[in-house]
Formats: sequence, C-alpha cells, structure tokens
Amino acid sequence: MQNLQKRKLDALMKRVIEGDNDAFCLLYEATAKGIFAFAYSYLGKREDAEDVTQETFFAAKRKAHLYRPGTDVRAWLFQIAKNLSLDELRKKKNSAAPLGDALENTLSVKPQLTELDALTACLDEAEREIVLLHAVWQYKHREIAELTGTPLGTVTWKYKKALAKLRDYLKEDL
Amino acid sequence: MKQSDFFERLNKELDLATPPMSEELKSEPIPLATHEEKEQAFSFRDAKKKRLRFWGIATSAASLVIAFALLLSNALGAFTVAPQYITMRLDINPSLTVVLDRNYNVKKVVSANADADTLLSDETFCSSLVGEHAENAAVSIAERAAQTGYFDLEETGTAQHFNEITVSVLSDEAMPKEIASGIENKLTSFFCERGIYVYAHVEERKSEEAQAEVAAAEERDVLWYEFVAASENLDLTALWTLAKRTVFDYAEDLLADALEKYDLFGQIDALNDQIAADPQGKGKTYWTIGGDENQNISELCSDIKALLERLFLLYGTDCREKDALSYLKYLAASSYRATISQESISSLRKLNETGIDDETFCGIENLTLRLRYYQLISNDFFQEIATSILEGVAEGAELILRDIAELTECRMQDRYEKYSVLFSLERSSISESAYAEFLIRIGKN
Repeated sequence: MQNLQKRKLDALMKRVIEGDNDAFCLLYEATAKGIFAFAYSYLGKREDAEDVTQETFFAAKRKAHLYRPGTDVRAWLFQIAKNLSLDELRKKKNSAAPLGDALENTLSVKPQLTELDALTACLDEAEREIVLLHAVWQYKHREIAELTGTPLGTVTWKYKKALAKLRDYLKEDL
Repeated sequence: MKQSDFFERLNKELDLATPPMSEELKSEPIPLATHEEKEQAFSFRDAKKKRLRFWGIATSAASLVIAFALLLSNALGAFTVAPQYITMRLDINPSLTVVLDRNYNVKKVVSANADADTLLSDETFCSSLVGEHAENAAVSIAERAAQTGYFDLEETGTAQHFNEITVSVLSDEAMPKEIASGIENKLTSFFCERGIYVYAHVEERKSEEAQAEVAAAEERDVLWYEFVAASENLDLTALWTLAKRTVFDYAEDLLADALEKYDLFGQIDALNDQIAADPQGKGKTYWTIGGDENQNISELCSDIKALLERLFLLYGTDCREKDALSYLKYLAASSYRATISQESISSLRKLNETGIDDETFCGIENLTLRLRYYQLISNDFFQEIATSILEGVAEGAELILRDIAELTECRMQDRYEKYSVLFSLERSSISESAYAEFLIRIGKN
C-alpha cells in the first residue's frame, strides 16, 4: 500500500513537472495534512504552520523541476517543510515579537489543536517526527528508519517510548 | 483511550485544521524546466539509458560470441542448452523463492509464507541477496533463519526431530550437476563449522513451469502479506484472516518467550532455595553467600551462574555479579512472578502446547485466558494491535495492512535480537564422522 501511495504521488509529481496544475492540486490534497502537522509540531502556532504549509507548496511548485522522478515525493516535501520551519524558528529567535503580534496572538480566534498540542508538549523533536510520520503520513517503521537515517530498532524503541509518554501526559489508558 | 483512537482524533483534527490551498498558490505558475534542468533532473534516467545502451552493445557483442560458440559446439556435436528460467525454493519453515539468472546469481527473492516475511521484512538483508550466487544466497538465507530462531541450535537429531533445509531448484533446461551439489555442500559445511546439526538436501528438476514461476515471482511483491493482499484484490475478509494469522504467529512467539523467562527465574529461585537449605548456606543466596563454599553450594552456584548468563544473553537482565546490587536487580526483575498464579501459568502452558488460533484464543470463552496471556507477556504494543485486529476494530485495508506490517517488523526484530545472540555463541564444529552418525540417527544415510 505504501508503495502504491508512493507510486501514485510520484506519478502526480511527474505531471506537475510537465506544468499540470490539476496534478498539483491533487498533490496538495494528498500531502498538505502531513506538511501542516509537521510545521505545527515545529512552530507550535497554527497561523505559522499554515504559512509554512503554503510556503512549502510554493517552493514545491517553483522547484518542481528539481524533483527526481522515481524517488519519494513525501520525503522531498517533508524536507522542504522541515527547512522552512527551521528558518521560521530562527527568524523568530532573532527578532523579538512586536507588541502588535503579541496582541494578535492573544486575540487569535482559531480553536486550539488539542491532540497536536499534546504531541508537541510531551514529545521531543525526534519522537514527534516518528509519531507523525507513522500516524499521519502512514509510514512504516522501516521507512521512517530509512528516511531519517536511524536504525530500525531505535525507531521502534522511540515510538514505543513516545506512546508511553503520551499515555502519561494524557493520564488516560492510551 | 486507545492509541488508535488518539491517532484517529489527531487525523480528524488535522483534516479540519489543514488550510485549503490559497488562491495565490493555485494561480502561481509552474515554471517549466529548462533543457539543462530537465537533463539534470532526469539524469539518472539518462544514466540508466546509457547503461542500457552500453549493455545493449555489450549484449550484441556477447550474442555474436555466443552464436559463434554455439555454431562451433553444434558443429562438434556437443550442443547443450543452458537454462534461462531458474527458481530456487528454500523450505526451512520460512519458505522463500529465489529467482536466479542464467549464471545462477540472484535476481529477486520473494517470501512464500508469513515466517519468511520475518526474514525479508529487513530490506537491507533482502537487497543484499541480489547479485549473490545461488550457493552464497542459500547460505545467507539459512544463516538468517538460524539467527531468527528457525533452527533448534541444541538439536542433535533423532528420527523424529531434526533441523532440515530443503532446496528445490526448478529450471527450464537441465542444469549442470555441480550447481545442486554445490548448494548442498556449502549449506552442510556452513552449519557443521558452526556446530549445528542441519540436514540440507537439494532437489533439482527440469520443468516447463519454470518460466511461469519466474514470471510470477518477478511480478509480485516481495513480502507474503503484500502479495496476498494484492492477489485477493484487497478483500477485507481475506486480509483480516491474514492479519489474525500474523497476530497468532507473533502471539505464539511471545508466549514461548515469556514462559521461558518465567521458567528461567523459577530455576534460579529453586537453586537458591537449595543453597539456603544447605547447613552452610543458612538462608543465603548466590549473591550473598561468602567465599568458602562446600562442594554442594559450589555446584549450585555454578548452575546459577550459567542460568544468569542465559538471562543476561536473552533478556539483557544483568544480575551476574555476586553482590547486593545484582541481588536487588534480580529481585526487581523476577518480582512479577509472584503476581501470576499457578493456575494461570498452567493454562498458558497448555495454550503454548496447543498453539494459538481462533479456537484457543478468541471469543468470550477465552477471555480469562487472554487476560492471563496479556498479563504474562506484558507487551502493551502487541496487546493493542492484537486487540484491534482480533476484535475487528481496525477498519479499512490500509489500516489492517499497516498493522500487519508493524507486527511483522516487530516480530522479526524480537526474534533476531533474541536468537542472533544464541547463534553467535561458540560451539565445537561437527566432524565428518559426527555428521555421518547424525545422518544415521535421522535415517538419511
């Protein structure tokens, strides 16, 4: 199934390279959720994650010709999103938030993302990455190991550890 | 709340929160690649094409040479046709089919049952076989099977029980005899050198079915469950049955392992009781007894030491030092035994003997047994996936396949972690005469 999904997305991306905007829309539909989840887990703020999601796909459009057909589109998008999120974090670190922004944050009307906040609050970066890749991107542990360059045993172990942490955090029988 | 519920809620939350594509993004043009960029992006394809061109030329040249050689050999009256389609099937318990090229090198390996999935779900291992000669590939697969616990390393063989590998080579034309004998000899000497009694035998057969077998193996997915899922056209019932079998296989492994650990602690406790009962022992244990031991205590300590070594090798619990800290560690690690009743252990031993399936493990009538089982194995990860599959909670082919993949990977990892250590232990190699006696014992002389 994973291979099927990988092949389907690769086929879409090949059409994008040829300039097919409909294929791009389908690619967005299939992958935006995962990108958004990643961006949110890094930035912890919904609006920022939305911006990074859009930026990721702007970049994907602009750099479509750099994609190597036959590889994993999800991994390619994931890398773009990760780089953009880290850039955004660096920018935020270097400039203190102006008063207006702080006020805007306080007045933000968008509902909180309870489950994602739980992940962000109790898991470290590597654990979050593994849980999201597994739960949202539907990657197998073996694929996560390849994608992140981590041994399979470590991925499985971190995944189990992450679930235990989540269970404690939620104080329920997860 | 279950893990799957949490993931479901997380996905629902994300479905609602993910922003739709903005109008600017939608209208942003896709810059078409320049010729150079296209060249760069598709360079790997070109490289492939170049390789193909090279091989095309090389193949043409080789064809000419072969044609000339064939003409010559025909003229000399020694015309023979080499097989083009060759498969090698290995049956240990994991069963695998290996597609070979005309030089008897591996082109592809596919698993023919769920146990073989535990070997081939390690992609690194799977891809390492490609390009290997049939002899080496057979040895690598047998070695991995031994490292994953599919051979009884202590078994010296009787007519009823012995370790066995059957290799069946199928080809469209007759093969040179040395291929089959080479595989058999290599497998036999590999296990003899490592001191493990294994009967390896190779059968070869010329058959018109070879071409169809090669085609079928080349077309299908490597792993058995993926193949079944595809062949059943994602029929949920068939997939669910497969998922349940995967659960049962893993459940049997976990039960056998948990009982072995339970018994290991039991044996150590019994020996410690004997030390305590000895007049010189006076209520002491392996860890607390002083240096001046009588012969009885010395022998008991030696037995405990061997069991503690095994406990460390198999379960990573290191209580080997003769000090108070090790004693405390041992008490902590074995304390769970007190929470499990003898009745519970007896019923689980019975389950271990009969095997786990729908009848012995599922349904309301086996609820108590299942609870006892989960208490003993104490593996939340397995319990959750198993419960989700057995109760039919996992909905949709993708989720069921994901669960099967996870169980298969974890099972492979668990087995490899445990048995590769045992496999790597030093053993005396088996001499030719000892192997001949083994063949007599098992009735294969």
